[in-house]
Amino acid sequence: MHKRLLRLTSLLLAISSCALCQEASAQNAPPQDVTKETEGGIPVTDRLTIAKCGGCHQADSHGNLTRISWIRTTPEGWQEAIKRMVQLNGLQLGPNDARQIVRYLSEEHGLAPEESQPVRWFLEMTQPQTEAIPTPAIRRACASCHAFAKPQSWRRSAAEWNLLKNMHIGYFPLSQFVAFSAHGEHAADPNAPKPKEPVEEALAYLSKTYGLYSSSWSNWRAQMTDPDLSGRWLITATLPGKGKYFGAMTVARVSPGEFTTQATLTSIQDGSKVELPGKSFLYTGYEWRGSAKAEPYGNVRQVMTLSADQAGLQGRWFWGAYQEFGFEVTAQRENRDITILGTDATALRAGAKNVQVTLYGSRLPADLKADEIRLGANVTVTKLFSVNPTMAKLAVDVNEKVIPGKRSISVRGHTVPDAFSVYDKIEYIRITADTALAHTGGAVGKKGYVQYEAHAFSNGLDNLPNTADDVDLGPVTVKWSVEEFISHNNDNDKEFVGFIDSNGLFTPAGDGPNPQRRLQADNIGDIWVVAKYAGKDTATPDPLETKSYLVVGVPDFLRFDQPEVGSK
Amino acid sequence: MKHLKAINSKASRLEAEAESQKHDVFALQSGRDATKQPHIPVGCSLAFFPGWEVDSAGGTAGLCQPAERDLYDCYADCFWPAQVPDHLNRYPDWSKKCAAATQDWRNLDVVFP
Amino acid sequence: MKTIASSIVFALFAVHSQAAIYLATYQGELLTIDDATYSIVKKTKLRTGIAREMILMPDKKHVLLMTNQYSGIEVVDLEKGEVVDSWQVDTPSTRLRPTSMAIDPTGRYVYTMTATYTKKVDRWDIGEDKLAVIDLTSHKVVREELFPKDKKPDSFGMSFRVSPDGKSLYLFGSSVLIFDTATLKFSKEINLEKPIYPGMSRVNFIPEIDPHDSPDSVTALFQTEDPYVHKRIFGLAKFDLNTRTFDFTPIGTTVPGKNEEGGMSNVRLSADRKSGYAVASFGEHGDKTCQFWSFDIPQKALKSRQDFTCNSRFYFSSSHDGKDLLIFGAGFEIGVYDAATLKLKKTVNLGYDVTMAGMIVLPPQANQVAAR
Repeated sequence: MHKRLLRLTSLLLAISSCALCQEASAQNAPPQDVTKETEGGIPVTDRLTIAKCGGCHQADSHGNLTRISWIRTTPEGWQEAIKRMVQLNGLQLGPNDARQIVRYLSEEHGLAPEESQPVRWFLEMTQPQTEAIPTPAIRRACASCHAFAKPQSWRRSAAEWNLLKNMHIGYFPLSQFVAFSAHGEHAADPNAPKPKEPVEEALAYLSKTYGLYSSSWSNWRAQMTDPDLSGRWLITATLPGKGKYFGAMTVARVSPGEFTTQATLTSIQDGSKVELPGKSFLYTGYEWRGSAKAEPYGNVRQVMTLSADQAGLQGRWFWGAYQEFGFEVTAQRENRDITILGTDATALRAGAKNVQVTLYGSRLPADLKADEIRLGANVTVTKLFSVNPTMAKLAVDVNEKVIPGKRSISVRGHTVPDAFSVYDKIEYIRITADTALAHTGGAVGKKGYVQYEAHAFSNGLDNLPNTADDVDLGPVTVKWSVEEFISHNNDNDKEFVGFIDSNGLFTPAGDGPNPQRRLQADNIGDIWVVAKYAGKDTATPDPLETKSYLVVGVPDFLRFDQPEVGSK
Repeated sequence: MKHLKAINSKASRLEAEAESQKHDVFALQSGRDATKQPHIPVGCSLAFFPGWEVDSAGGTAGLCQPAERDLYDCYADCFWPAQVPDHLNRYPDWSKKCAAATQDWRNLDVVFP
Repeated sequence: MKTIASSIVFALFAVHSQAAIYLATYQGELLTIDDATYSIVKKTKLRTGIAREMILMPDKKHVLLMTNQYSGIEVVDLEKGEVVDSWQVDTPSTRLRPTSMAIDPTGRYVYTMTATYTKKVDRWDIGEDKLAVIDLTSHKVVREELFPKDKKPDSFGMSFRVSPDGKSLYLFGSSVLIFDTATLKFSKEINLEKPIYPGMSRVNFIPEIDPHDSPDSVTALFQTEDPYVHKRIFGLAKFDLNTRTFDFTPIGTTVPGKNEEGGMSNVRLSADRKSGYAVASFGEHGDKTCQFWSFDIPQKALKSRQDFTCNSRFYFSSSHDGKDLLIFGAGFEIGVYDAATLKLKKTVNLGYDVTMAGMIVLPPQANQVAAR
């Protein structure tokens, strides 16, 4: 008994002292190095990439190159990284080699279509109204200087996310103060435990949500192909301020992933044509990057994605110093069957009779009959004036009882949804952007314009405005003006920041200090942009009016941009 | 289609917003709630010292007037690395052509790293 | 006659040199500005770039500057108007980014806070912040010590001072951290939370270099709030660098502000240390207005106020004789205001944007003039 007790006691003592020494050693242990890689990497196998990058990014026995093997991103992401290697790390690399390396890395270290979906706007260089960022701390850490979409365009191991933080501090030491920490914000109780730094919260989130491996990427990598996109593609496009365009693009393969393109778009507003001869590249099996020389716009850049069935392309073709102008483009492969693209009609009113409408498509049959063109309940094609393979001219009646909403067009079983709208009254209008940013320019920087549109809305079945069931009836012609936004007394921003024309194009004023303003302020400011609609089809007798908030800011003196991915 | 998405009804906009957006108020809304933070237009930096495109109130009134007065202070320590050239790394000589930015601003360059 | 007259003039020159103001520019120069006329009398080209910080050395004949790109240190001989020594603290692969400097009374050592950012071939390593001592003779970092993590100041821009006996290093912020200069180890913290009365809210004490401060103490404006009616007040706080004691002189109500710092600037003292001046900013953004406040220190009373047009960012200083109040910074101008009336006298166009290194105001010194 005694012996057992002794043994038990000594066992207990051993356990407790062991626990103590564990705790002691934990306290004395050096802090864990969060930049030490613990995950498996994606080996780099391309000879050129190894040759050009392996000098600094050492290979291990698995063929992983440091840093590179633990990162995935878009073609733009790789292009930006390579440029930094050239500018700041002494890499010598010609544009052809760079292009090849970007191509390889986008393929083996890219993003799956699902993964790049939330950042399409960033790649297409539009400005959304807001960015969905999980917490204010993450917003501070990751979106104080650039969009959150920037880190969102990358996938990294946990160690790599920490190394990204290091890179920011190393090159931009103030990022610690401006973004990463909560400096300057005193806790109410100085004795309270310090909250996590915003950057730590962000790193935890990014490591968890945007890690190196994902089922999306594994699935995509397995099925990724290098499709031959040669052929004819039918296009539907809209240009804010100008409206709908229909057309076609011929694509011819030059080499794997490289194409020449020739597109023609016709405006339904005035019949004018835009010719876009160009080149394009396909990265990661679905990322289209191209450029075309198009009058009168100049160099038009193209960012689109190829659909999973490889028969559709969707994205934006854009230009402008701030990439503020562009076509929203949808393209589909022309096939042997009838294709309906859409119509020049935007919204048809209940009770309208004999409305002249043009249908656009491909391979429209010569023997097409009026009653074969289905426009939905209470909308009837009364006459078919003419038909050729790409256009049919019709007359349409719209019944009084029609339910407001979007309509599809169907011809012999070939359908295009949401082709036009029908409505009873325009209940309200809204400007396409609630808030926007323009930039002064002309002498040093170029101007940053804003092209506005106003859309008409019907309240939908619930008959309440600003609810989920409201119907967007498309652009309407409005009277544009600007009004003073009172942010402080007598600033008179309206007089200095620029003007809006009858088509909704806001042209900002010139850059530089203006001696006519108080303290020689620049021609920057904040104003209301106002749209007034005075059509006879409104729900109320008074004209409809709406406003949007516009900030006119200083030029950007620096732009991170990678047009190289779409040009040669 | 991007531009149409931008004018979805308020309900679906709010759905898309994360918890952090709870306090956003769009300028169109009348009757400001004093506890709400201004909606800073996307594309604007959120570093408010006092700010690049906008100040912390979401407008331009609090910025240096003119902005060129502040420009080199912005540049030297790199407060706005996505909008202003960085002295520390790529553009150590950006201020050389222009001794007083408010007066000589036409000599400044726009750079594309 | 002529000979006697000129030798008298020569003798006078030898006794007393003009006061001067020093500002650094974005052209990589140090400007010497005449304190009376505000004209630029000398331009000293720096060797290593644009000055981010500068400090007057204890002999009052040299200025030490830190430049931005490679953390260059330069020593300028003020009379010659030349750089007499310069070197880079950073190496091609490390950035130390020394921030905030204090020079010990011998003028040989600089105390500063450094980071250590190391650029390796394929990544950046970010080290912990350290306190460091740089020997201005050998150009080397002779001592460094990790900064205690839990004491890390949470405000941007700190203020260091070395005690007159050279043994203690003070870091001013929301508390006073005291380090031993021989070991750079933390020794004591003076909590500023209860400066006047238990329960008074936390005070921030960040003194600037005011030529009218005595060498044994530093003075700064402080703000605090009582625990009962929560009235925010401001006053002058004086810290004795020898005895480590604080002396608080409340003066008046302060400007309501968004954060604890409210809308008050730093304080500048008159030459006789009986008057103080500060800038109060009211409102935000475009509605901001500024006022000079002058106060009588012995009487602990606000004397007068005057509105003036101010920019969003500016620095506040004063001439050596305290007769001019100076508003400068974020730009190329100096607004010169009369301290007695608080009204604008003139606006000086320097033609150069000045850096955030601030202004050094040097009162007249006894100087040797080079023999003719």
